[in-house]
Amino acid sequence: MRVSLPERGRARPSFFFVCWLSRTVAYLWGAVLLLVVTTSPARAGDTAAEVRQWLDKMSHSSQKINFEGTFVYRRGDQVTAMKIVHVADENGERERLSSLNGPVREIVRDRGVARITMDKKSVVIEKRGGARSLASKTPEQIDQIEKYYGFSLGGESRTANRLVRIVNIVPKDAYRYGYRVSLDQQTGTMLQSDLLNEEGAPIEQVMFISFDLLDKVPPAMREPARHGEPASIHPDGSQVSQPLAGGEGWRVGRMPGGFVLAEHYRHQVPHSQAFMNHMVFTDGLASVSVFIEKNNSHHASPFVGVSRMGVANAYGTRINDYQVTVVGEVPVATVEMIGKSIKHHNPGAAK
Amino acid sequence: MTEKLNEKISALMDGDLAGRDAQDVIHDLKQSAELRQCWERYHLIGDALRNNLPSVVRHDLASRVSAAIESETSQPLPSVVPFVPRQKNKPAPFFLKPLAGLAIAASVAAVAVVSFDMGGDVTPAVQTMAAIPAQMQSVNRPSVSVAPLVVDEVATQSRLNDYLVNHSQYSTVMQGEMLPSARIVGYNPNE
Repeated sequence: MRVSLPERGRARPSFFFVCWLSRTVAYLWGAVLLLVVTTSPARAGDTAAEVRQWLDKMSHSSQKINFEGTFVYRRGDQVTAMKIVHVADENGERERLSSLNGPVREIVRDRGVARITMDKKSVVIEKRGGARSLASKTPEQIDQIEKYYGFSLGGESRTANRLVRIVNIVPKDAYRYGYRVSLDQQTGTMLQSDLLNEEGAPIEQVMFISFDLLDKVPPAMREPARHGEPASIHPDGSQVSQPLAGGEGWRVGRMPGGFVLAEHYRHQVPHSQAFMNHMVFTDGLASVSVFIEKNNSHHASPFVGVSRMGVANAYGTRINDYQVTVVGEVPVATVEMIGKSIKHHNPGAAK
Repeated sequence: MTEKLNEKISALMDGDLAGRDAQDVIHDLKQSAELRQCWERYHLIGDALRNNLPSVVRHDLASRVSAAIESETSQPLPSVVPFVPRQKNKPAPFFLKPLAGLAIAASVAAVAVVSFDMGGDVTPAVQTMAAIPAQMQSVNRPSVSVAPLVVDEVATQSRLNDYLVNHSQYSTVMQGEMLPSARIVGYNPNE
């Protein structure tokens, strides 16, 4: 008895096993065919959704994680090594970024206040208004950005010994630059970023060398940025910039597609009682600033033409008694088009 | 004696000889062409064993190298021509453009730059700007026709720096504030 049972036991399941296997294989083939049929027409849509997911992950990551890392910043033949400590808790985001070679430079950001220390001088700037990161964009605004940029997923790679996913952002005209970013698979943090010019060549690169997540906020990052710090140029950042409702008679006539006026400020000119108008235009990714200030004996001589400041281009022109300067990380054609189209309709308004 | 020396050469090759012994062997190698050939043969054997042979084997490499060193030390050194890197955006003179287009060897390019490097007193700002219209001449590119800006005053530069700092505070960011911060920290107004 004990001998025959196992023999029957082996023989009968083998028959059922064959039936089960053939059925399973048939189901699997059916499932594969169904998958191919249903996904083929919708593949483009799925990719777009996946890109959105990555962008969403990237834009929200800085609000959620604490990290420290070192990275290199390259522009042209200039390379600067930098260190960054970023924390986010119930009090908001704080960040300390400092150079590791060359002159000692540091920027500490604390909930909208930035203390910039460069060449032994400190400046405190308070930024009003909301953040203009992708995180604050509505789906409709993202749709708007996609009119002027194409987003696509690249392959997987490795940066700072972490797995990353590449996202390509390609402009659809020659008035803006493109990006190629590598996002940390785990957190969505941007670990590598290339700013690409009209030819698609990188003109600015950021690449993390080390990246470490922190469990808690380091003691040095618990203090507010303004505490006990000198502010030699602006006595108090909160007093110098005021949002403006109207354009004070200044109008920009021509603008590349997609750029809209996002904000309008009045800043106090350093070492002076005078004010300057500051308009910020953005297409959702790139931004262009227009500065308008009245020329007087305190100022430098007026300047007209284009200049390059790091990765930003600038265009200067004179309108009546005013110096008008357009600055942005955009091609020179963009700052020039905007600068040339600026008109002053009410000469008595902006003083 | 020779066999012992050969052993020492082999040991030196393998990194197993140090101190006084190594110095002696090197001294002997300097003196004897025969030993240098031995040194070369041992290297060739090593390469063959590692399947790392070059496609053409030169048997007289050691003697050619020492001959080259001899001839260099016996002649006076050529005077050093200071190589001043040009502003890379400055357009090449018209007579250099065909050469640049052919992607000539770096050494020739360096000679050409040194030979023709006698440009006038153009400020860096002008040099930087002068190249922009040329870069934008592609068919689908917006045309740029403005005069270059000469940033020759400290006050003007300082004002532009203020603009840049203000701009960075209000610019759109893809993620956090890292990129605008890096642009300020990495900015060199004198570049």
